[in-house]
Amino acid sequence: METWRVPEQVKLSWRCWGDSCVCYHHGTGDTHLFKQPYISILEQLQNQAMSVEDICAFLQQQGMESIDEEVRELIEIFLKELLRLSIIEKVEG
Amino acid sequence: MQTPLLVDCLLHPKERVPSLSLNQWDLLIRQARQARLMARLSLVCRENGVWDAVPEQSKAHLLSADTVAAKQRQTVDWEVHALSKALSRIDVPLVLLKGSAYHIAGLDAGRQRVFNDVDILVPRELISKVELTLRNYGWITGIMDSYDQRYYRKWMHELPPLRHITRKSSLDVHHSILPDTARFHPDPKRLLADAVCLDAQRNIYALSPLDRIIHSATHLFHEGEFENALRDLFDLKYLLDEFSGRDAQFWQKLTARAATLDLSLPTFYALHYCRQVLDSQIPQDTLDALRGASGVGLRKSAMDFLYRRVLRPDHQSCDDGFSGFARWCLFVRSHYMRMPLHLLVPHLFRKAMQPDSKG
Amino acid sequence: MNSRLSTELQNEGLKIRIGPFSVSVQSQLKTVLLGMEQLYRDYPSLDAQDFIDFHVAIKAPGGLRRWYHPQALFYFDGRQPFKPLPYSQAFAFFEWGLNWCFAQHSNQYLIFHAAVIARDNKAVILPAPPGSGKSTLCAGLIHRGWRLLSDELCMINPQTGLIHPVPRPVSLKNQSIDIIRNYDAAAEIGPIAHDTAKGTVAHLKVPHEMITLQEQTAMPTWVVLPKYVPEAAATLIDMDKGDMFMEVALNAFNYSVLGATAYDMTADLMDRCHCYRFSYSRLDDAVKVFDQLFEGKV
Repeated sequence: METWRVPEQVKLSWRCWGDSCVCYHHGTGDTHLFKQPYISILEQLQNQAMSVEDICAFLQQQGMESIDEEVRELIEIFLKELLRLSIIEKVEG
Repeated sequence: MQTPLLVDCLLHPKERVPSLSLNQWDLLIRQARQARLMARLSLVCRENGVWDAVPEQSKAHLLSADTVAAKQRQTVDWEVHALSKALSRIDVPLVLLKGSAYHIAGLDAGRQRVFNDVDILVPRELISKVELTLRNYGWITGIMDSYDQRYYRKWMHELPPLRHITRKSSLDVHHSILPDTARFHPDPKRLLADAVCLDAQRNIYALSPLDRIIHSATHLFHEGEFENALRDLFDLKYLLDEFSGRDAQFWQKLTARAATLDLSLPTFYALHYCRQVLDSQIPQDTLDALRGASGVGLRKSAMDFLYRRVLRPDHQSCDDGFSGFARWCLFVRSHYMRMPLHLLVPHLFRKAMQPDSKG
Repeated sequence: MNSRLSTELQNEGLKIRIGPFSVSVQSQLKTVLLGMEQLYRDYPSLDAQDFIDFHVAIKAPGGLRRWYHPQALFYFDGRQPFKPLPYSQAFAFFEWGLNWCFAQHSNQYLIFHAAVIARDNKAVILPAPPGSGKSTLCAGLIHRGWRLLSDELCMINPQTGLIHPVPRPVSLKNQSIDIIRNYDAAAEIGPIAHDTAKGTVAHLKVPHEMITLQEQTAMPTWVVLPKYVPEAAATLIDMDKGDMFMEVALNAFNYSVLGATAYDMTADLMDRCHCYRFSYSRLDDAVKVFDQLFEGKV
């Protein structure tokens, strides 16, 4: 199963107000805005490699009730975006 | 010709900087801006204990340049990181050229230096594979007409400039340091064979110290763009100062290596102008040996006339009536050095028909 | 025109202080002389011994161009960073060109693309998406008790977090020119340039007392994202600080150049300021809301 994580070399800073967090990527110098539940997902990806299934399980644990195809798709889009922004990488092997 | 204020202050900061009037600072900042040496001037002032003598108004400009330099370091570090990742996929070492190599190697020449792009050298036989891999990682050929595309692929020593699709950074992928059509034919295999490792874990290399100097010299004396000529000459001076201090046999080795690579002529000019324009300490016998090997003859006085006008800040305060003419002559010469005349004339003609494109 | 100002402009260059910057302007073009006489007469002048941050000139090309589609050229220290514009836009070209010089070469400040006004040195930052009506709003407010710090450049000092004024003429477009002319009889408007990329453009003079206060910094206190909505009542609603962060950062001139410093500064700014979206249609209503904002009644 494909898993992703924030690699060690990527240093991120966070500042949050309410449900919004603004994140600074010290490598690329880019700034990104995230909202919940994406902030929590990214937080998890900073600590461990996760697959889409892992992320669904995590969201369920957080109290999100219906994890359907649409949610799965949103997670995939989110991961693709994080990959494009050099925030996460695919874990090999 | 009088030494430009900028050169004087960069070479003798302790003597010159504290006594500058506000009017002179005005001129110094303008020359430094056009020569793209402002951040270096800032560093030189700090390291020579004359920062406190800089008036507040001028400090603002130096601080602004420091900020840009820091941003460029961040950008280059990230590009190098991304490149090493991409090339590791196909087990091709990342060989950095010019500014990014100086910076990653931690050389004095790389400090507070302004970068245009990242330049890398790859073995010719791997160029297509590298291009394909880089494309998968987001580096693509910019918009270019088919004439330019063909020109690059047929005659040049590099791929058409690549641009990263999200980061917009530019990358030059070279397979040689001069076009095949150039008068001199340094064998890129020799350069790659001598490349030194900068970072084993990430598989990052640079040319050997001698080759870095010779490449820098070749670049300066064969490229047709002189906007950064003074900055490039300072690169050479800093490289020479640093490397010559590390090895007692340095000058003999440099002369021999230049001959091996068939690049004694640009190396001679580089050393000659470092001494003439930037007061570098170059042994006379080294210059004599390089000159002998390069076969440079009477033309030298004409070259002096031209280069002494180009190796100055590209600022109106440093121009005389011949500066524009000198830049044009050297532009044509650089093309002549790179391409036989029957190719050159149609190319320049085409360039002349496209006023907005770069030669 | 034989004033000292126009003599200097036509010869060695008019040397003046605008906010923290010293500028030398050189031009012989009639419309530039006229605009400078009208809009720049109150700035403190500098003498020949002074350090000049920006040397600019507006010229016209010679030859046939003088008669056939005449043009204006903008020079920054002997170089032309822009393509020529039609001669009729010469004065606006100077305004835009000088803005570019400030924004491009002053990375000792974090510079947002926003108007800034203040009262009691408490500043409102008005970020500027195109078509927001920011300049009109700003022009109205400075004739009703607010001080202009800048119409385009919100310059924040990284050491202090304070905003440094650069009071320059306020750029007005199309109908706004007449709206402001009718709004206050004291409003002085410079040369009008027709058919620019932005339509008809003219510049409003900065009132004299605001130029005398151009070294007085102000504390950022509110960030207000304005939007002109035809027929709408003036309403202020809270805006998410994360959204506002991105709004100002994406519209900044040098946010990316300052890197982590810019990120920290912008985050501190969001912490310190109240953030609002503001929609309005009539200037008088807008003025009332800004009065309430200042008095803490919002």
